[in-house]
Amino acid sequence: MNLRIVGAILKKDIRSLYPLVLLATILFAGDVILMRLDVTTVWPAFRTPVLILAGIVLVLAVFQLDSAASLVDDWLCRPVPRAELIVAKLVLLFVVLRLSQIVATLIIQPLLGASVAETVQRALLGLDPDAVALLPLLMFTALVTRTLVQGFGVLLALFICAFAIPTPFVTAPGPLQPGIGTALIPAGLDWLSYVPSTLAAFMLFGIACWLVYWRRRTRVGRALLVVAMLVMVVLMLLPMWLLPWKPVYAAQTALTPPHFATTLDTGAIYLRSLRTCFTATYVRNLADDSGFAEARRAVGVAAWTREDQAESGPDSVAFLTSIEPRRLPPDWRVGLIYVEAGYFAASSLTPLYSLRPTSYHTEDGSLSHAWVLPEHALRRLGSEAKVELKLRYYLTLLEPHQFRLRTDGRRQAVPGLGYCRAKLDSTGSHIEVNCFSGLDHPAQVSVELEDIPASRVYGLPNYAPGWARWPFGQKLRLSIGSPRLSRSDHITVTAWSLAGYLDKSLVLPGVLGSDSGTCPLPSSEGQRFQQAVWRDTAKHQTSSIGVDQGVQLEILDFGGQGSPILLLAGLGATAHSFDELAPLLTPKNRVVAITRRGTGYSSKPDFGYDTPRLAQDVLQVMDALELEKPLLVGHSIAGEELTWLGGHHPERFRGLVYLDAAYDRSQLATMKSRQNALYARLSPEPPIPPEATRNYEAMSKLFADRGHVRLPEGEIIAMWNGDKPFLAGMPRMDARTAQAIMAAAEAPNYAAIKLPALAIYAIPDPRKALPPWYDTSDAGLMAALTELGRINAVAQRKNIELFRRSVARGEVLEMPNATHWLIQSNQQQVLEAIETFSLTLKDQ
Amino acid sequence: MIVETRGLTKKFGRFEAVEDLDLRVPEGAVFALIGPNGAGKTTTIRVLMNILQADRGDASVLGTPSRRLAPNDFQRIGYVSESQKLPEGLRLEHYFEYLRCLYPAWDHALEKQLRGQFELPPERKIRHLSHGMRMKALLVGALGYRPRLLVLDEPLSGLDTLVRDEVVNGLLQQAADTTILISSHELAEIESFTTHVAFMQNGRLLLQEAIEGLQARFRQVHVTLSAVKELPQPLPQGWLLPAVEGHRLLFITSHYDGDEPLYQELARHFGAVRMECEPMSLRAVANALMQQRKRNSAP
Repeated sequence: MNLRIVGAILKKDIRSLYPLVLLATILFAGDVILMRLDVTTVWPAFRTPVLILAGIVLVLAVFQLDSAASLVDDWLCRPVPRAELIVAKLVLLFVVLRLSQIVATLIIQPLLGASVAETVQRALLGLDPDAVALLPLLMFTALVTRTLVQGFGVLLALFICAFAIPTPFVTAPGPLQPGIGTALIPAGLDWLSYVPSTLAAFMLFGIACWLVYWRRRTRVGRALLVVAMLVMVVLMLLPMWLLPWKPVYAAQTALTPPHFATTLDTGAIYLRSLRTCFTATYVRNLADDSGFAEARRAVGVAAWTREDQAESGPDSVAFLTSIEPRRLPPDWRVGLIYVEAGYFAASSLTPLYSLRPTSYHTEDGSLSHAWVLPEHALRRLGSEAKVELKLRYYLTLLEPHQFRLRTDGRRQAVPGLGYCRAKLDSTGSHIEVNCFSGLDHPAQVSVELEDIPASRVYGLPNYAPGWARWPFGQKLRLSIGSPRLSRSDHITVTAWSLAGYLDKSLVLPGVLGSDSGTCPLPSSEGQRFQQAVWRDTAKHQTSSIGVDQGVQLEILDFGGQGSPILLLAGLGATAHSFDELAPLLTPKNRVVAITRRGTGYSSKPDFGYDTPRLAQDVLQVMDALELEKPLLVGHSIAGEELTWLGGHHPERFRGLVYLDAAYDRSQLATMKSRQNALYARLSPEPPIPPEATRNYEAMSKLFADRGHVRLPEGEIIAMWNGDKPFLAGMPRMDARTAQAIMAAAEAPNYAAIKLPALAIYAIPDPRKALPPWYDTSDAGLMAALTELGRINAVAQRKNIELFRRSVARGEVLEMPNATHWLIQSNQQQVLEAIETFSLTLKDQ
Repeated sequence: MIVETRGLTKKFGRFEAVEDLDLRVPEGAVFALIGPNGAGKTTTIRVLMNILQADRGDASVLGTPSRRLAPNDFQRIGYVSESQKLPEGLRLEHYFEYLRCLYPAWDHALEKQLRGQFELPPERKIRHLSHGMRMKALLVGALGYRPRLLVLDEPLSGLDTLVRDEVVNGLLQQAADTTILISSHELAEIESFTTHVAFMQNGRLLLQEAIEGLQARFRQVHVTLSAVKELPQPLPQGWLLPAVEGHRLLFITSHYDGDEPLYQELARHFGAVRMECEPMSLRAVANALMQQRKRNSAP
């Protein structure tokens, strides 16, 4: 390689094109600087077409300076060594397109406070994969065209062929279509499209160089360009359109083998359905069936395509499945690659009918999908005596690596991920997180408000192996909503690594989750269950009181005469918890119950769940209702409001009654992981069968059978969507809100309480029967139960002692053989305790 | 032979630009390739330079088949074309700097001398050069390394007389050491220094020959006849474009071998005649050949 000649050609090219070279260099370097500094919104809107245009013009101009397609160029009859010529062109392109960016990054990143390691990684590894994929095609075009106009014309033609023609064929997958479609992308497998296609493009470009410069075969070169275009399109579409999932999955598992410790027991992991019967309706009713639509939104299934609906016929059945994996290692989760479903006649090996889902949703641990069963398949299944549905999931196993990131806008090094910074955006409505991964290759990244895992936001997964990702680095931008749910100045960033693959199946009887008696096909009117049978018959007057900007709380006024009692419900529960207890108090007291913000029929804002604000809500209600010095009675989490109000506003209350509520919840974080692991080990409660949702009697019978405390009908409706057959059992509270309230819990300042206070503690019955679904022969389960019982007993004892010691005018009542829902399970005892306590207050 | 082609054929679609060409350029010659526009001269030269590839036949340049001409072979070949595309934005001095790097045998002194002789402004950009200056610059760019073969495709077209003379002088200075292949449609400007000439028309080679030989054997003949006679049939060999007007006969002979034999031949056909022979310019020869060809191909 004669470097002198390379240098001479470079000099000639730069001198010939210096205005363009200068402009392009400034453009590409300036782009880096403007994007990093984030000073203007104009540039990000325009940058992509401008950079693409500049890149095209530059590449075409550089190659066409010494065009191989020309008959009159000077270099044709000069001793210009071909290799040196190509090297000089590539060097010039590299300097303008890439080196400019590297230098700009090396300058600007340290000024923004990045470390040396991060700066170097960003500079060298920040390639844009789309640009790298298109560059060989662009250079190829420059090779075989003579003028800029010709070059643009060819590019336009290629663009039309590449996008306009195949695009109608690449859609989201339908149940009756072959291929995978764009579902490849959320499954993190799109690297199988990009990488082979890009490699092929580079190879073909190399061949073209040889053909056109050495062998002077321009016509063959042009033909090869068309071939290259076709090859790229085919390779990009192949995994999406032409191949079914199985070979794609096989390629993924072969090329990206897992790394996890062999001590991990994947055999213990199993799948279970979250509902007894799949939510189902006929395709012709999809537009009118609001219950189905609500259920679909609740599990987060994305919208369906019209083609799916049209193809299957109006008498096809659309249904939703929700499956969760159990016995994963603590905090781990699964990512979905694909799922297949098949209906089998009992113990047959070949399916009667196979299904592919019409849409995917895999974010939070539960694998929810929508399916369509066409009419003809339905008839076929109907003719069989016994059918079962086998769902087979191909999953990735993801291991978390968590990191606490300050939300002060400064970048920090996150191990296993790269570099991140987080900041509240200017409107205060989001926390913006920007991350850069250079040398690390997490399979997925998620961010969440600290201690509020339900607020978690995920980036797209990427299961490409390290060798396919290293030159690109990865830039990630995520946005967490409702930042005011958390008072912390940190967020949690999790880097998920691909620990392995899981291939798990679940077999369910019948067509829709259970036998046809339990789970019949949708009725012809589109409704399966009568809804009118659920009523809230408790004696209360409902009203709503505004306590904050746009926040209304549900108030239940049970009436009554005498000194007022104010009732506060537990976490996620509503004022209806007291539907049965409250009327028993009304003979001697005026009784009012409040539903805290975030649950039931109260407003559900995304702020204000810290204890002082919740306490202020209570005071607002008292002012609005003109309640004078009520007795404040709180259940479970209401203990937080009670302690705060008792300490800060004793003059407003007569006294406090804690119904299994006086606990120090601030320490939960430290105990959390052990307890979580133990709770995860317990067998999950089976889902609520549809018969139980018919009416309150049926539901109460189910509760009794399962050993639960019976809840008032109003509470079941308000908190558990009892009256909605498709949603029964799903809490009406946003998990984020519950977690926000728990995260805001502080160590109780009992010493500040100068009011009389009664703390009732529910001591569980050690001989109480285990739930019927527990397998007493499961040693692991029994051990977990025992340990949990011990941990809880110790914690309870500590809290009882703490209350006794610290509250000056405190009284403790230990209620044996009680449950946490003592207002139902030990109603009479609670009633007497409150009345007795209330009398003592009168004497003071 | 420095350049040799055998049966060279090149088609563009259905149009035959060059048909069955057998060209032979001896070493040391100044070889003129003459023909009207569209005769196939540029195509022939491009095939020789491996800018195009022939469909049939072969060509060899400096002993190498033209298809195999490697970049290094061009150290000994110079090429100047009227339509050559140069790096337009480059200044002349930078262009020569670039050329110097490419040619180890570049003679800097010669370059300086020629640039002075041609009065080429070094700091001017190539796109701002007049046509004449451009051709002069191209010539310097082809002469600077003293090539063994210099191929010039219509170098003199569009130049004014003064510049043309400059260029021709510049060429002549090299004629002793270099074989020159020059194409043109304008004969007069080059016949003074060419040694060999080839005529092309419609892709075919009409003739190729050393000039002396050509000038020796072509004569324009005016004959005064004693009576009105008819042209002898068949036409004697070498007679071109014969025309009879009353007592006068005009024709061109391409087989002139001296006055005597010609007179004898005329006497044989026409009896006593009066004969006048004039030597012909190259242009006249070319025109005659082309006209004859047209006549032959007309139905």
